[in-house]
Amino acid sequence: MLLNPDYHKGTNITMASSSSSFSMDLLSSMIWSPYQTIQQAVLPFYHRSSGPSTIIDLNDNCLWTIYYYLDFDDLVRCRRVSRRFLSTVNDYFKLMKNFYYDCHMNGVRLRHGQYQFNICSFEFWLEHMPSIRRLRFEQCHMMRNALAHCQFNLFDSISAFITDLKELHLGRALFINQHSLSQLIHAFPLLTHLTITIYDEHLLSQIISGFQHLYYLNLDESILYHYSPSLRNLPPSIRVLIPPIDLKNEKSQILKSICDGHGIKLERLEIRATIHNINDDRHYFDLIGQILVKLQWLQLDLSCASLFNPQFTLDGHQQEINNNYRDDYESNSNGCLNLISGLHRLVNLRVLILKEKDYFDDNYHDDEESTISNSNRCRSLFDDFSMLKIFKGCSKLIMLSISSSLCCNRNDYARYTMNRKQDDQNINRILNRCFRKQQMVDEDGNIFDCDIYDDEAINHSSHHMKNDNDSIDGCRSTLKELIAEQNLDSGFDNNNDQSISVSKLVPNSISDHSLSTLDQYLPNLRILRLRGVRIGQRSLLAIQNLERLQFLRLDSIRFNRNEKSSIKESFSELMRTLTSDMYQSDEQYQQNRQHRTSIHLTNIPLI
Amino acid sequence: MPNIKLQSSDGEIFEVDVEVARMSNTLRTMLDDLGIEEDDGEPIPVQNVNSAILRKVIQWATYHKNDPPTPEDDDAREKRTDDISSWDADFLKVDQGTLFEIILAANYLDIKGLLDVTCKTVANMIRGKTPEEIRKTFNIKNDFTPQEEEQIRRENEWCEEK
Repeated sequence: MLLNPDYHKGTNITMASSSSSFSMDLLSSMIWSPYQTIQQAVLPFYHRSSGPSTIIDLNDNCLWTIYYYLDFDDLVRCRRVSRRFLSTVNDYFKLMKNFYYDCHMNGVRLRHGQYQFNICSFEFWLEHMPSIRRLRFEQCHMMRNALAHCQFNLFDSISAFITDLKELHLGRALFINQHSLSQLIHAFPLLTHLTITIYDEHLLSQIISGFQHLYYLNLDESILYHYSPSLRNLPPSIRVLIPPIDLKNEKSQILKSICDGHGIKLERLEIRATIHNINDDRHYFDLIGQILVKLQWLQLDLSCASLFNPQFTLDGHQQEINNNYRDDYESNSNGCLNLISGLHRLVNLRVLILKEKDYFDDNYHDDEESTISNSNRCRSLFDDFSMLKIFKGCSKLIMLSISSSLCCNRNDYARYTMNRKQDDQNINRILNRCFRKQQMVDEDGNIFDCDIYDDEAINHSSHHMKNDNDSIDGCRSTLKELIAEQNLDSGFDNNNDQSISVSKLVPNSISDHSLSTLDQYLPNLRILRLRGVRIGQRSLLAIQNLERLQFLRLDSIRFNRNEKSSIKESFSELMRTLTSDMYQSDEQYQQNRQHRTSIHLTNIPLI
Repeated sequence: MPNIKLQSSDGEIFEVDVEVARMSNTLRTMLDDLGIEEDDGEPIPVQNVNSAILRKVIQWATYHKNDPPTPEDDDAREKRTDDISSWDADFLKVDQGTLFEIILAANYLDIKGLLDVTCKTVANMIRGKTPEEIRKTFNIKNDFTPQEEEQIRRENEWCEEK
């Protein structure tokens, strides 16, 4: 290869083909200028005399980047365009690792909603995608239905064709038994993510002992009894656990088993539990707060046992609050129920999702006159001072979702409110950014908590994590003490010097009071979902002041009765503030685009 | 901000902000390896990119110089194609030949953001189209034999939309 001596004059260069003289030329070029070294290194690989005339002239890497943004259906069709497309799509399939299985690949929807699964086609595609690391079946209802009635052992095919499966999200399937499961364990002992629906407690033991690298275990739809002993043996890598619904009210034993083993390292926990005795069950939440200190994500789906009526317990406290509304609310809070207030110790919590089972009373009317006649209605489990304590303790929260049952009339709720895929996608996108940033920073060893697009970093004040062993030992000893004494401290740590400015407005719900402090205690909140809660002007103002809010959904909320005349103006002001950037110029939008709030309103009384 | 000079394949020299040049991983590696922080008179050759395309690339990089970095790993990258900003959409209103040249330049210079947005634009041109429509859109000749075509059709049978 020869370098054009006219290069330094700014003219173009020409290429020669003698590779044997490369090193000598390279040496001589280094004497002239370092730039010529660059030229030498770059030219052999990238020289091209003219641009591509069509898409098929692009190199493989460019085509694969285009394919990355296409759906599976489109890629399959591309195979029929030309030989170049066929070969590059096939290569792409072979190389791809991050592809979610879609039932469109192998099935056809027949009339009457039936779905036919084609085994040969499934195997054909597995053969073409041996590098795939994620298989996700459970999101497709048709596929779930097919697997639930099909004896075909998918694990046979998966084991035969796929080389390095890391994630399997399966749901219910007829072929899952001890034999097929051991086959899967044998083929993929390094599996890290598993979603599976099982109905046999032995299978749970088999999963836990077989997959020793599990990071994520989702048993959400499984039906198991007395399974808590198995949870003692969760693998050391476990961080996310979604246990089956607790049908036998063994939640305390389940929690104890989790904490006795590696479950103590959990960073995400989703629990569905029933409240039977409000005083006893409060200890359960205290335990979570004191033991599972690493939790970053907590989801509670709570329902009440038929024998238990929260209204009875809560109404007395509400009366007390109304009688003393002129005083600081915190002074009243000690006498209140505070069912889940123990969670305020989860200082690392970033996502909190609270769901309450809906209790409908179709005779209920939300007006002044019928208040007395409605006195027997159910009350929300979350409408106590727990929220206030949690907000003060869990200052790192970036997502708060409360689905409460304060609206007691079925018509007060919007239909189809529970499954919003678009919401989930938007929320996941925001959370991924935040959690990804956290991971990156953690790897560097610095402890900062900030959004990926924020310039400023916020120091964690006092909640540095200890190393794993110290932390686990400490938690275990705490657990033993707590269980031995059965005398849990449900008191509130008064280590926060911030004082709340208490409005003299009469509250209609404690939720309103709690939510009105959002901007003071949770200024980093990015995602807020409220369903079925009663709020007023103060809460709207607090939401308005959340400068980092990126997603807001208000669903079937109720406004305080005594503020009805002015609430419309407050609500309009909130909307005006949150949408103000829509009127900005393109350049301003570019600067602020990460902070644009996505607003979703459903069944709001004003609109 | 200090500037450096870039020289296109047809000899034209462009003076650009160092920070803009460093949006290209290829150029950044060169600058770091050679310890160049500002212009010392010698232009850096960008041999694979002609002046028309290099001008476009510099225009894009200048506009996006304050953007957050694009994630490197596929896991972190979003697969959305409907999030192309209006400025980028206008910027990429060019003939197909130029668009493919920009893609190749972005790939060569390793500018992830530009490669992504250009490839998203092409992906949007493919999405939902039949093989024949794709051929027509990009002026591609069907080079399969009838036997090959039948074979692929059979392989695709269960996958294509019914």
